[in-house]
Amino acid sequence: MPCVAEFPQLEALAGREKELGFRLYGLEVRGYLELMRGVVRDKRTTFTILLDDRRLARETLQIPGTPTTFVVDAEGRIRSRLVGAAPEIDKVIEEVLSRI
Amino acid sequence: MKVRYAAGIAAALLAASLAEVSCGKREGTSPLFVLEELEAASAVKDSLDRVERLEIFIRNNRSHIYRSVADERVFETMTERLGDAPGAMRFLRGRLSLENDPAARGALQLLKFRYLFGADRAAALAFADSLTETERSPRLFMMMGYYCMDPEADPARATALFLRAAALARGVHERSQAYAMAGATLEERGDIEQAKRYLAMAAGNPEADRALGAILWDEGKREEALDLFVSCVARMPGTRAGVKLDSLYALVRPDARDLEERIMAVRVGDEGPMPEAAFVDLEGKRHDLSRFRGTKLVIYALSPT
Repeated sequence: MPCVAEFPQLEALAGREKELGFRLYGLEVRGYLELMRGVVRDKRTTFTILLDDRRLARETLQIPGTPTTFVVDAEGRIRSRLVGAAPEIDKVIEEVLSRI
Repeated sequence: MKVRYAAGIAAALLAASLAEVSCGKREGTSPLFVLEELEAASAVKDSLDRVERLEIFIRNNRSHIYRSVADERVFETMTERLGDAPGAMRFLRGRLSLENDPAARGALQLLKFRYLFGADRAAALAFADSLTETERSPRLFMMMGYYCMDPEADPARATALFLRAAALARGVHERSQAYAMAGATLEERGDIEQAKRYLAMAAGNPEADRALGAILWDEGKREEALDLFVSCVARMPGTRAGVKLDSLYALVRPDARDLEERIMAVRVGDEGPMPEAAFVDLEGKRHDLSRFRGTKLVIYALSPT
């Protein structure tokens, strides 16, 4: 479960939303509601998970798989697309946020 | 079993007729409510009852994207729990006869392909061929291609399936991924020139950049290879150790101290506007992402499996 494995890093990042000036959302793309709720309970996730009932990720943004991370600037433009899991995804995202 | 199916069909028809009565209300139904309904049907212990409940769900949600999740659960319950492959195939035929959406049709055909791939590989490959002219889902051809990449399956067919996916792709990302995989299978088969051609067509796709970089490195074109490895790691950060970017960079450019800047120069760009959309969260609360103009957003697309 590569996506869930990154939750601790994402949670740490979410704890710095105000400091770094951003909002973090998870976007569940498969329709696994109960599984997702179970993960949120187990991992004590505080960032918001949305249900992608519009196929935004797969159809519109054409992600090759999960996880895929999008960093969007304050004007609503996608400034970075990060494919796959990474050992230090929080640091990668933080660095991108600092440059947009 | 037939009696139970008949009872199930009767229940489904009743539920469907009731649902049609309240159709107007369902149109604005929260996706959370639809998913709750799907999860309730999926959680039914008795497999036959579960199939019945899921079929009712599908009838009630004929145009909702989560019908494909229900399709998958019906098919898996019938094949894996009930051992009723003929019934599962009848279910697929029935659903396909009513389904026009390319993505939903592709998901149904993929269920059959995956089942055949496990049961009768030759039949699965013939089935894949039979879909080439009729189906329009790039994802279907991508997924069948992934299965066929197995050296014991049919890598040549995998290439053809990836190219079909590329032809059907609706945008640059989907097309690049398809060309990347076509190039990767060609490279594995030793057709290096053709592989390079397709990998170059997928430039910017991290998997293509990684594969083409490896080919060029072997050909002694180290600077070009390094650029491609940087591009790969920029877009797919988890590959940094795998491609040995740090050690290769130090080897080719021992005095350079600009690796991080080069990665970030590729990693941060402008892909265009994020589509405006609103979603519900796991509690049913609505979130309109366009409301956050003026704030940076990080959207993490995920699956809990």
